Amino acid sequence: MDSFYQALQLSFSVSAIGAVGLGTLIGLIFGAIPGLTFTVALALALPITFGMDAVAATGLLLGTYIGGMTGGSVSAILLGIPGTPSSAATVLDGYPLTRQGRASIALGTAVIVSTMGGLFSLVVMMVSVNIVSQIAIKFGPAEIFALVLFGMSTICGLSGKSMIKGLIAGALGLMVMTIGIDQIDGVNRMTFGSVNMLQGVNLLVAMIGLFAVPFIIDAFARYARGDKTLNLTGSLKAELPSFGILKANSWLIARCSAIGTAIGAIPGTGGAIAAFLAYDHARRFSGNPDRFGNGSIEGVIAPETANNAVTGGTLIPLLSLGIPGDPATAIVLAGLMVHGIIPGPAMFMNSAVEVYGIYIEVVLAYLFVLALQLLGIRLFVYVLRVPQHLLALVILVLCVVGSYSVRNSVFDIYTMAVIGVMAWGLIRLGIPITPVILGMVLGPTLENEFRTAMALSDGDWDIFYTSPVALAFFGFAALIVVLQSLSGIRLRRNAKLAEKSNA
Amino acid sequence: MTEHRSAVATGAILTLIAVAWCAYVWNTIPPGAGGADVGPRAFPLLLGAILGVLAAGYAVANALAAKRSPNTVSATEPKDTSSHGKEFPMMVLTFLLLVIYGFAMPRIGFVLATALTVFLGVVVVVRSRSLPLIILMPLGVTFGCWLVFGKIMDIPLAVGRWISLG
Repeated sequence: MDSFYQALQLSFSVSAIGAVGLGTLIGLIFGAIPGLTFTVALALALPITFGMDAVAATGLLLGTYIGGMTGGSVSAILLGIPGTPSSAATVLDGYPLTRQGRASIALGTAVIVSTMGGLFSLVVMMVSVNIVSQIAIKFGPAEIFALVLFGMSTICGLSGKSMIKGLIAGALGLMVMTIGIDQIDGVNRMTFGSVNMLQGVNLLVAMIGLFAVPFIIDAFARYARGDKTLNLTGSLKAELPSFGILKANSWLIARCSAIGTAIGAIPGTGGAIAAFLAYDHARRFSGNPDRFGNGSIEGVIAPETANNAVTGGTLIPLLSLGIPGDPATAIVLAGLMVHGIIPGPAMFMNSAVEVYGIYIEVVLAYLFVLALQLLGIRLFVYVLRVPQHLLALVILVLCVVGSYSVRNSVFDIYTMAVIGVMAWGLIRLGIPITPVILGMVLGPTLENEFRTAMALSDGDWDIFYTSPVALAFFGFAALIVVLQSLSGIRLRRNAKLAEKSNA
Repeated sequence: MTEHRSAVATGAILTLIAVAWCAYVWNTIPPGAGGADVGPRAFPLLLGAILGVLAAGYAVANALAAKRSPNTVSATEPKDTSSHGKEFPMMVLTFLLLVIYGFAMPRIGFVLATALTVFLGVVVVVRSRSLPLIILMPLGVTFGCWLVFGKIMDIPLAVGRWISLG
């Protein structure tokens, strides 16, 4: 209980509240601008946290994550363009509502149900994290290796339409993290005789390059091609939904919250899948399924509840096992590690205050989301008017400041530039970059735990197949690979059938 | 057909990278002592081999698919055919801007390097001829970053060897 009071004290300090508020604002703005996802916001927000204490720093990161997840609905409803992939399903009914002149009620409903979904998932997270951690604390190197391998198997879910491309991306991410001094033997690896390469590729620098540089190139290219920038006129406000609307949809909100939390807890899934599943679920069980797609308020409630419920869900494997479920939580994980908080089974023992701090900050972040979006909706409309090529120029400066300030090294700026251009190349070739991040985050643990396990077993492989926990994780990993492969085959078969019937 | 060719080329290039990676690993990283010692060479070598196999498989699958159905778009997935015009020159310009910024920062300091980079961005990349934008954008972004990062956040910004402001 002492830890909880301490966390309360730290979380309600001016700096912590300010950090959560600032993070939420950054997240809302970045989430609202199409193309500029909250993952970019998180990568750029990381260096700002360096001068903060751990609780304020996590507050800023969580605020950005939660704000970004909610902010995507603004452009989805007002412009018909999802600000983030998670808000893609919201477009289906949100934009028709705007065209009917009901944008205010759509925005207000979105923010209210987002908060409800987020807080629901927080309660589930608070109950689950400790239980999962208590089980996971008994893990040795073999079990942790199996667990990380299970985390790596989620690449299949993050690969988009082609699993082989996802696997190639994952391998590239793992390879990058072997550059530098080997942590166990102290041997130089892939340094090409350069002193600068000895420090290896910093995860944060790589993340800034991977996510922000392709956006900058894309924004400049769109401007050079003469693509119109987004403009929006007219006065707007967020209108609170009536109690009647919320009461009539309370059961739908509860079901979509559960869907979002469950999907979020499965690494490799994320907000977009949860939102589409919830939308589909709402349409299937609706009394008027024909209204969906033509401006149904349920079509906004379902995806917005679910995509925000994902925030608590993704934090369950992140905090209890140290496995990030999506690129955004991978950056949150990196940020926590920078501040000495190591997510995983021992987190409750080593950083109980920070864990309670995270719970309180999630609540604070949702309160800020509610206040900022209800009061400041007009501000977001102005933000959407800022030309993206000028915004890209500002982001370029932020990328350099962020990369440099990680280790005060100019070499990191060049590393970020090279990784950014490579990421742009991968995207052009249709190779997803999220598995690269997963490989980078989990790679060092995968290698170190494997080598430690082999050293402990005196080179005997039975350490992996005599542990029931390790076997269970290997089984889960295999199951995910098989299920994703089957789903891919089914999708391709359906596409072929559709092609034939059209011909 | 073009998509298949591009996929085959991608696979072939990645295979070559994997082979070069494995050769460099083999020649520069010592192996483990054997038995319980896995050694520092094992993982990089294994990862290079995995990349090689995957990339070669990707290239071969697309080459076979191109032979089987020359008129289809891609073996593995339908590709986005939206316009990508101007992306390559913008990639080069962005990369150059970042390199110039990185080169200038330790020499003329954060303040001047930022102003110079934003000025180059406005003039060369955005190609703006609006005098207020050319003057105000570099000044505004530089002042904003210096204030937020250097003064409010207290993050150490680069000091120039040749000249330094702020």
